[in-house]
Amino acid sequence: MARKSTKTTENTMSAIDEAINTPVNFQFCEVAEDLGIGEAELRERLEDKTGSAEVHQLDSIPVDWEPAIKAIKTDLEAESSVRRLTASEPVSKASEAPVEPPIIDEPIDTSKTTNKRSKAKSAAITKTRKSSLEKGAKSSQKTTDLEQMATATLAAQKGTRKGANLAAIELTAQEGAYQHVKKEGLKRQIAKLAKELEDEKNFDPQEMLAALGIPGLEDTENELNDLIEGTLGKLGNATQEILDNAWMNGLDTEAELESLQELLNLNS
Amino acid sequence: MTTVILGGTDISKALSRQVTLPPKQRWSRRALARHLKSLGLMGADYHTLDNWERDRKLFRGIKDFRREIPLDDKGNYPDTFPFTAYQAWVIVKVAYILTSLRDDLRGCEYLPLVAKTLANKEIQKHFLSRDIWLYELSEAA
Repeated sequence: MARKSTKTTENTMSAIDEAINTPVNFQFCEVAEDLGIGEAELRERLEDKTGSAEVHQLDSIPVDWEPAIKAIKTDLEAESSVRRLTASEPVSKASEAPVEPPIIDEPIDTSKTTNKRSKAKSAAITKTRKSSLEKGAKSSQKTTDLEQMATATLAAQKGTRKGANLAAIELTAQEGAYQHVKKEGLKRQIAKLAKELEDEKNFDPQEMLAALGIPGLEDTENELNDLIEGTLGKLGNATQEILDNAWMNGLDTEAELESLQELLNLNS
Repeated sequence: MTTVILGGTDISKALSRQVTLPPKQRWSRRALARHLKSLGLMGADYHTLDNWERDRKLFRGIKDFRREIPLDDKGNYPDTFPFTAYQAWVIVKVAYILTSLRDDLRGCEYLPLVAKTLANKEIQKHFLSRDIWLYELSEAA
């Protein structure tokens, strides 16, 4: 029975080991699927990273290019996070509203923390925190929507009320103005009538003449009376003097008067 | 002017040759193979053209050529697609080089060398870009 040489066996084993340990190139389709992009885009990105245009002619990605694949993965994550930020503008608006703090389900064991130094809580975003944050963001979004709706309704109601108030004010103002005008008209009419009556009652032609600068009848009468009285008085005195002196001058007054009377009668 | 020589073939001279194609919007592989056959060039059958484009990815290094390859829903290159007028122009130009090289480097694996040469951006800019194609079209008109 022929015995297999140990050298041949060793060679075979080493060849197998080498084959096992040899890193296998990455397949474009697998990597592209893993990264969530198309094969064409993966090739373009690899060209950008490696600077080799030959990547478009390769059937598989060399193992040496693993850092480039990782860099592409990082880039894609960064791009998707940027896209999330830009796409979620309403969410950012919602974030202005107070976000409810996530409820911690895990009970805190205080007995352990009393003796030991309390550990600072990790700020890393775990799945639970992420989901609670998302929930908070959603609820705040909902609240914001409701708030916006309520604000709109209130504004509409306010507007309606304001319109009604304005209309009421306008109507009242119109009515007030009308009443005022009416009252003023009535007042004027009454005043006119009252004045007429007053005028009739207190009518004094003397005053009117006095106002016009024409002397009144009474004044003229008085003046005339004074004048007549004066003249008549003088005449009386002169007559009496004539009568008194006539005797001295040798005249018979009575005879003279009779002859005068006769003369007057003759003339008439 | 860029000068590239592969074996005894002056690539730049071969690429400078003005190529005029019958006016067609789309070229099927068979139609282009028939045209190459009429010119007495390599790639005169469907399988050769398919081998150059899909298996060897000979023209994928040319940026403008790549841009005109349609993509499927997942963003991958399809197995087969009709060539555009520009792509057909590139293939005919390359067919001139390959025919010359075949005679020159018979028995050698020259396709990888050609692929590498075509991936050169300077060569693309001077001989195989879309702008050059448009220029040649206007010259022919």
